[in-house]
Amino acid sequence: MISCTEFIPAYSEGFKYLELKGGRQEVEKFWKKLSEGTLVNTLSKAIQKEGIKGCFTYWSHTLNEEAADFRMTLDEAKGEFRIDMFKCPSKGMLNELKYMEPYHAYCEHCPALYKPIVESHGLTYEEDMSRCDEARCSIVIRRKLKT
Amino acid sequence: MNSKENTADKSDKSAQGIIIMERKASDNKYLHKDFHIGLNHLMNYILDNFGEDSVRDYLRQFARAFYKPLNNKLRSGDLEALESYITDIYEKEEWKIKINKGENYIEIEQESCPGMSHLISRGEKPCPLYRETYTTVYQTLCENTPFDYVLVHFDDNTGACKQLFIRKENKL
Repeated sequence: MISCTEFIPAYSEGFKYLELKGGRQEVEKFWKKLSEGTLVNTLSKAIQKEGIKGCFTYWSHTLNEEAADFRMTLDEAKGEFRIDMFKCPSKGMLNELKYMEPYHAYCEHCPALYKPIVESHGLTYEEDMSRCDEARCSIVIRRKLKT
Repeated sequence: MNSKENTADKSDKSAQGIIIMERKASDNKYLHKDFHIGLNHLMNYILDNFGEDSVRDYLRQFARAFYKPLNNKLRSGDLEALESYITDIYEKEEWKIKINKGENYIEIEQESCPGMSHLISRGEKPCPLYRETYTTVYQTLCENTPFDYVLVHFDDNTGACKQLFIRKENKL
C-alpha cells in the first residue's frame, strides 16, 4: 500500500520513470492527461459555478488537506485571486528526503496541471517559480480585462 | 474531530470584500486522500502506454529509492522498525488494521485498502494492477534482507488482504 502521505515521492519517481521512458514530452503528456482526468470535475467545476471565487473554494480544500503554509487572497472586485506559498508541503517533503533525488522539474507539474484549466475559463494564470527550490512560489489568477 | 482538524472553512474576511486565508503547516493534519487518485492515474498511464512490466518496474524504482533507510534497517534484521513503519502509515491514513507478530514475522490483516476505498468512494476504478502497490512494493522493500514478503490473499475489489513479512528461514 502506498499511503497518500507517501504519494509525493511516488509522484516524483513517476516523473523520473516517464522521462526515462519517453523524455520530457512523455512527462508532459501525462500531466495533460492528469489535468484533464482530475481537475475537470473539481477546479473546473468550481470556476464554472462561482467564477474566480471557485479558485478560492478549490484551493481552500486542497491546501488545507495538504497542510500547506500559505496565504490566499481573493479580491473579487478587482477580479484577482492569488496564492503565496511560503512552504509547499510537496516540494518541502522532497527537500527533506535528503537520500532521494527529486525529479529535476518537479514543480513544473503545477502550472502544467492548473494553467490550462484556469485559462479555459477565460482567466489568466501567472506563476512565479523563482524560489521553488526553497518550496516557495506564488500564482496570480486574474479575470481578463474587457477590451 | 481532533485538534488538528482541517480548517478549510475558516477564512478571514476583511471589510473591503477581500477574502484572505492564511495557514501554517501546523494548523492542519497532512492527509490529502485524493493523492490516491493521482497514483491510480499514474499507474494506469504507465499500464496503458508501456504495459504491465513497466508498472512493476516503476513501483520497484519508487520502493528502492523511498524505502532505502527502512531497507537498511531490515538488512540488519530489525523487524521492529518495520512494525513501527506499518503502524505509523496506517495511523496517518486513519485506517484500522490488525497486526499479529512473533519473533520472526509480522502479519497484517485489513478489511479493505484505504487507497482502493477512497478511489471507489470517488467513483474511480482502481488500476487492474493495484495489488502491485503491495506485492511489488513490499517485495522490493525486502530485497537483500533476511525477510520475505507474502501477500497471503488479496481481494481485488476491496483490497481486503492478509500480508506477511517473515524471516526467510522460517518460511514454510
